[in-house]
Amino acid sequence: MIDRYSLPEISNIWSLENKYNTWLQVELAICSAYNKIGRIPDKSLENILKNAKFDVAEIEETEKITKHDVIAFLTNVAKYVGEDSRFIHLGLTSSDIGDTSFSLLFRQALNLNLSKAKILAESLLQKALKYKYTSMMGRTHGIHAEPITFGFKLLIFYEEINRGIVRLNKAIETVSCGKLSGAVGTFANFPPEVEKIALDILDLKPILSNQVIQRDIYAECFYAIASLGASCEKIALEMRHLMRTEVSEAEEAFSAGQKGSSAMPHKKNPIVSENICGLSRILRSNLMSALEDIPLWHERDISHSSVERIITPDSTILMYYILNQLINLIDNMVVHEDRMLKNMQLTKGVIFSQKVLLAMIDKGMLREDAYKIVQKLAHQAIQTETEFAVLLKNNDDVLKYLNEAEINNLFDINYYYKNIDFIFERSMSLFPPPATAGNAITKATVRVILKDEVLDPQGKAVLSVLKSSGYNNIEDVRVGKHIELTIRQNNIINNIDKIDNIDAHDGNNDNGAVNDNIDINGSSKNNMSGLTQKMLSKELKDISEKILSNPIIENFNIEINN
Amino acid sequence: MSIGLNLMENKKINAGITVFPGSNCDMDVYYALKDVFNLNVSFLWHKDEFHNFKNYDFIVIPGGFSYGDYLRAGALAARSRVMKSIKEYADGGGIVLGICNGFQILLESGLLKGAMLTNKSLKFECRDVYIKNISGNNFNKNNNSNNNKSGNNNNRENPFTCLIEKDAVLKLPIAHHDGNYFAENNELEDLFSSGHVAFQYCNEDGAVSDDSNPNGSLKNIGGLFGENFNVMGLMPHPERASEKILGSDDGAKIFNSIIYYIKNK
Repeated sequence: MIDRYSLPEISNIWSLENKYNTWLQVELAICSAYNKIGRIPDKSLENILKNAKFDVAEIEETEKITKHDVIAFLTNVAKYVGEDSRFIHLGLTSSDIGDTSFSLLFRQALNLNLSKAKILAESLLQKALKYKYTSMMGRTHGIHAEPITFGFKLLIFYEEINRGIVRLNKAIETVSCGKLSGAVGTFANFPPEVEKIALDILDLKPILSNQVIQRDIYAECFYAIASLGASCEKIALEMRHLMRTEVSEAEEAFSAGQKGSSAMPHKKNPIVSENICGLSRILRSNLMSALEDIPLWHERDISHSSVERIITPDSTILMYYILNQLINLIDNMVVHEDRMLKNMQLTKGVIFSQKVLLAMIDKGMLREDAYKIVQKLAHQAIQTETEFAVLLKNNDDVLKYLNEAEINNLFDINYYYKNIDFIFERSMSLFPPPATAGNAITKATVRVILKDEVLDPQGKAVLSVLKSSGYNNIEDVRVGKHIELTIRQNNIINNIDKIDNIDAHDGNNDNGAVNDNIDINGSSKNNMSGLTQKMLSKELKDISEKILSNPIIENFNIEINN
Repeated sequence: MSIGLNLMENKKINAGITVFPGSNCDMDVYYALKDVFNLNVSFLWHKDEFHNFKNYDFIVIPGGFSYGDYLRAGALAARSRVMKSIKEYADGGGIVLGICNGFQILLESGLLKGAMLTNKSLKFECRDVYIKNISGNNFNKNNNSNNNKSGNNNNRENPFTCLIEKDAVLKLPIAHHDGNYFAENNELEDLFSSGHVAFQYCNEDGAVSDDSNPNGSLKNIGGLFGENFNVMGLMPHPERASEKILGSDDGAKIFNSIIYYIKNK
């Protein structure tokens, strides 16, 4: 994958270093298993486990000659192990190592994507709850239908991403299989009990294989990715629609200094959403290739290998990038609630037509007759830009069945939201908020130190001791406090009010104001949604400012770790 | 003298004393207020909020090592329940005297400005010192127009020094490790110009200098008023110098001021 879309934590999984390292893990698990059945002496195993290592550059040199990567790898490991290397790779074929390792690597990459997908779900739910009662137009075929809320729309996404998570979990379970059964898989040169023990060590299940693991296993993983990608694309596509000038109901955050167009200075484009929509196409086409890898000749051919070499890193890296982009998009999107309301009024109240129709039928009018009248007046309302309610009130046929007050009562938007609480409750019991939000334990370190301009008698005393002990190079000493906090994050639902406060505090998308003197280290950043990070940062800053430090004399900084 | 004032004079004054884990001057203050000054005295437990503000004519936060001086001296006590009530009490005009650790607690709770650092000597300083009343209060003398003309506005009515002559020197014991008062430069100037500094460390003759500064406090500050002059933090211990037999009864002047103020207000 090109660097532009490669986030380091996932690219590293597909590095040569990690590949050989995984091969080595597999070889060592097999050695341990052989030792268990008495085939490798304890001393030799000890030596192997202690000395087995490799050098990527040396393997590459050897491979130029052997034209075979597994052999080049084994030659290199043998160099470090010495004579006991004769016990490594006993009775195996290259695919035993290659495919078993491939499963392990694929699982690593899927797990990383899984944790990102959970953050996306969390972000979606947080926003869904925030906009639970924000009225907007529901549209079918692009045309005004009946009112919904923006939170409802986001809740649909929340459930869908959660189904994607279920698929990812299933794919991880499916891919957790290995194959150590020798050429064509008959165990002719390799004891089945060694496979069992070795795969146990690697936390993989055995699977009936010929020379290779059957490729339907991996195709399932590619489907989980392509499907999750398509769901992300759907969310991004919605953002693009909502951002269209004529709609303008929501938009991507536009950072300071960002430019929309080289020619047109006024432009603010949905570039992140468009980026996601584009990349998702690649995930879909890679699924096609993965499916085509299923039919292989007889007990194997090697036509699948070149394809997998490209599509597996590419799809998992792109999926990860898409998730990352979408999380940022959701966390920072700008929502125009006023515009949502304004757009609802574009169609002069015809969105209540079903209610009018049902009320007239209820009062005894024939359905066909009622439909004809309501349809005629609704179309007239739009064509002549007249309020639908006014037309109804001036129509004698309508007035025969409904009086003015009854007509007014029909135009009540809250009617559509009477079950919104039920809808949310059901979703959240079906897919409870992800663990990262509900019960995650986070560690934070707060360091408190006297301000530079404040005399630190303790530091001075330590300095004089250091000097008198002969450490004359020490210029100055400041003594501070190091405080470690363990935080169990409250369920985000209980904190929904705080989220509002933080957003109001924050302006658009810049979280610099809150995160001043707060470091969120890499892995925590990847395991928490932006809003959770903001909430946590705010709380820690409060604690540090109000209690842990005295701002008159002390400064502090906060580091959040996972 | 009105009947009302007579009644007031006959009524016993009610004082409250806070008790934190680690307070160790609470009984000393109790003894002084009850046995020396003949007041009604009761304790306020750190875990309890209180709302019967009228039952207390004044409250003393005594010295000690509340919460073992953990985090910062006074920091944890300042966040206790009883301090929440004391803040409300003080905001409503209630008289609060913080002695030593009580001073630190008042700073941490925001009722007084500034902060305390470790003594410059790094030692626990435990000895008699001299402090000078620079608040220039003359509540008992109505003919203080001369002072007013002098142009400084130090001439505030306050409960703590109203019976003490301006520039009078008191001999009181100190016993603390973190009494090194700090405030930012401009704030320090404001405190002086607005008359919020009550006492400065000095020598026997009243001269304020580094030599007479026992802990490194900026501008030798040893006593400070809160914004509305109904709160005072004092680093030395007046309760330990309220009878001649203790070597000095200068501390009594502060308690007598409070009592006089309450009776005549």
